[in-house]
Amino acid sequence: MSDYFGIDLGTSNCAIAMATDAGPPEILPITQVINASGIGESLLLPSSLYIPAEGEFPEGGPILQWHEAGRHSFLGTFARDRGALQPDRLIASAKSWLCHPHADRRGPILPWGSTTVQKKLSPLEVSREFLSHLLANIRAVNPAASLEHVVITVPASFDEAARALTLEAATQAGLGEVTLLEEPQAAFYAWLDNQGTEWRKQVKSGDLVLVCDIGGGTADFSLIAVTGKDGNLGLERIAVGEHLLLGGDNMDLALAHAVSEKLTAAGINLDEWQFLALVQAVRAAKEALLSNPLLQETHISIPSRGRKVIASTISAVLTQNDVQQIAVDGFFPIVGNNEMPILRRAGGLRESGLPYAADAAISKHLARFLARAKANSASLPQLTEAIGGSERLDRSPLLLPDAVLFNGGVFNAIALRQRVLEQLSQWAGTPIRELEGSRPDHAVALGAAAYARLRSTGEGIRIKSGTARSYYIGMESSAMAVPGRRPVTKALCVAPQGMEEGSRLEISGQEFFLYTGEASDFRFFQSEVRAGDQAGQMLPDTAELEESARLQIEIPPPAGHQPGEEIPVRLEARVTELGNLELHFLHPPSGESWKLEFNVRLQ
Amino acid sequence: MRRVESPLPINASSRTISARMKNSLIASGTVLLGLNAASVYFPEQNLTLAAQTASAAIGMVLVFLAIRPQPKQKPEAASPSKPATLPPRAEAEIVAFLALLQEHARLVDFAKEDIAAASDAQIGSAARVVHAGCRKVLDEYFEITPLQNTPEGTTLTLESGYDAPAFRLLGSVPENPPYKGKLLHPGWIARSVKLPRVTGTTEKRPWPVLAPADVEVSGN
Repeated sequence: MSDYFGIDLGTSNCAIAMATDAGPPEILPITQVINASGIGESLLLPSSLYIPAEGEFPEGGPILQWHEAGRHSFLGTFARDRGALQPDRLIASAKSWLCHPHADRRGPILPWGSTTVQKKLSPLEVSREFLSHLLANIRAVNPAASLEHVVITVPASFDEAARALTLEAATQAGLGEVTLLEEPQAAFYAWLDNQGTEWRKQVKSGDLVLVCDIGGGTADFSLIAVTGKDGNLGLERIAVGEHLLLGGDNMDLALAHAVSEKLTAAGINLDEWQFLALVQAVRAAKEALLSNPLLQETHISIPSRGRKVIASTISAVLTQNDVQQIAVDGFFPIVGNNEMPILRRAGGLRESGLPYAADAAISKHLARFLARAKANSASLPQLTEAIGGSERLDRSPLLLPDAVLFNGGVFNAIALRQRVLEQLSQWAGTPIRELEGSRPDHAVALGAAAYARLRSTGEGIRIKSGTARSYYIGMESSAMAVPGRRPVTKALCVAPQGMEEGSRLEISGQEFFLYTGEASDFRFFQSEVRAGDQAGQMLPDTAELEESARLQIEIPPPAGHQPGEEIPVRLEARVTELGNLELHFLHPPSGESWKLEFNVRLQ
Repeated sequence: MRRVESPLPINASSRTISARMKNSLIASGTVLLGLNAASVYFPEQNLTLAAQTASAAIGMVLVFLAIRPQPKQKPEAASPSKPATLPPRAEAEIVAFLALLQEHARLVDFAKEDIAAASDAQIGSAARVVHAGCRKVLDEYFEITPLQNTPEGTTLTLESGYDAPAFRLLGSVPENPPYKGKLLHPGWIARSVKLPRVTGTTEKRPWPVLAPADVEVSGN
């Protein structure tokens, strides 16, 4: 008898699911601080961390049984609610900082931009705090639980550095060695687990399924191909999207601004606290309007801050028209297959902070994802075959799916599911269907627990998925120096897309020179759309790549070599059993090797 | 004619209502009833029908649930001389529950405010805040379902041995069952309760504050 745990370390909320050897996985309630005087359980743990002022809780405040004295932060419901009143002390969306290439992910930078918090936390520490809390909950329910089979989900858009940091946070939290799983795949596993053997009736060989996962703060897309012969179907994840900070919260905020503007026009101005209350009220009103198209309008009440709830409550109206225009047409406009999102805001300077999506039109981001997925599939014959041959590529500038699996709270609204299907059907010129039996709220944790079980027992179908991107290391070209021109950085492909867990690849036949004993710059690049690149392939420049990390490392000279000396090395890429990408520099004469993890750190 | 469904949750014996829950139920029920009484007192006020009926119904049922005898309790266990004062812990739980209703539904503010001069529209608008918050608290911390799943107006027969505490008989009631009659209100039952546990109380302050005073800080 074993226990299998799935942890959804979400951008807005976390959840834990547990499975045993048989039966469907179940969500475990999470004990957390509910308010300033109470501890309770909830199925979700809001991913909010609140750092109180030293003088705020002189007696320590509400304490959980596993908390040691001297704790300086709160997690979950209380953190979210209290943090809304003191945004300067609230850390939210910490997960998105983990995959922010320009942030110091090990540095104490959160709460971002806070001027009051003395002791800030790093994105890595915040993830560790959440994982420790979730582990304490597992331990509280089952002190003897074996942690052999724990799966943590990450966005498909997480690059290797963010994945490695998540693994590191898990180890620091005491979870030991865990396995990572992409969230859209987890949603797909939940669907498979829920359907049992029936899933084969909903898809057939040659089908392409879009997993469309839109939560509170992020949108995450993946394409899964159904391969193989009928009766012996296989599944392969063939494309993942970019990290997109756009979700249901943006809709609520947009609607709240619309209502607030109407009030301003009527001479009523809301303070910050009232605006927060408005956002909450608008969320409920939006859900009511989207679930009932016959409802013309919903009244909203915004209480005042003071004691007079009757005399000072402000009334507003959210109409069906507002919701259709702003939430449906604003975020899911019907667009042509060549309409791509605006990627950067106009204006040369951007305020530092999280790179929120500049274009709210999710349909356009979807078009961009499908166009890039097409380019990627066309670059490698095996991928072209996996999607059912080149006819699919010829049909449209986009790689269009046959069916969609929805995930994330946004898609509790049927109107929004229908809108996405309408858009895809319009692009395809033929109806695109929805896979039935999705469970938008808890699927990721449930699917992760189901995956933990099937990974251990081997019973059930697995989605074939290697590394989602190809990885490159920047190389200084050995061209002749030209005054006034910096040498072009070439990019060496060190890990091709699709490398599977437990595999290694040596870049054979080539030697590279490594400076030792001096700090040197290493630049790393990645791409989601170059499946055709092979390990060892040199790209003449980095124009089409995305820079994922840049760091200064000093490699100590091996015995018998002087600092400053260049030594010849061979390169080997490995993907560990846990799905962590490592790059090894081997120096055969001395027998020494250096491991560069993509998180990115030298050991 | 339909058979009466068992109103008790599964494993009712293990889920009888504790003193702590009972107190919370009395508190919440009373407050909700009070709320409703206010709206009856001002019959022409445009409190939404939903808010009115919901608060009335929930209030009645919560009080009813709390004061009704425990169905599975043995007669000898029901001591007639209960201590008159509540243990401090139970009081703390009640105050904490009321604090939840204040936090989410502004219930204490609402009940304590003088509404004599308020317009119907103002009261209606505030009722939405109270309604949304009460609903959130009830949905989050209780699993509340109707006692009877038959629609109002259905004719029922209560056979001898029926679960008496789950019914209130109105009209001309014969000495002994079977009782045949029309269902006027299907009743409510809390099938589970998971209220937050109070922490941080001290001898000096045996229960939490109902609502802390809000201070907007502008610096040292």
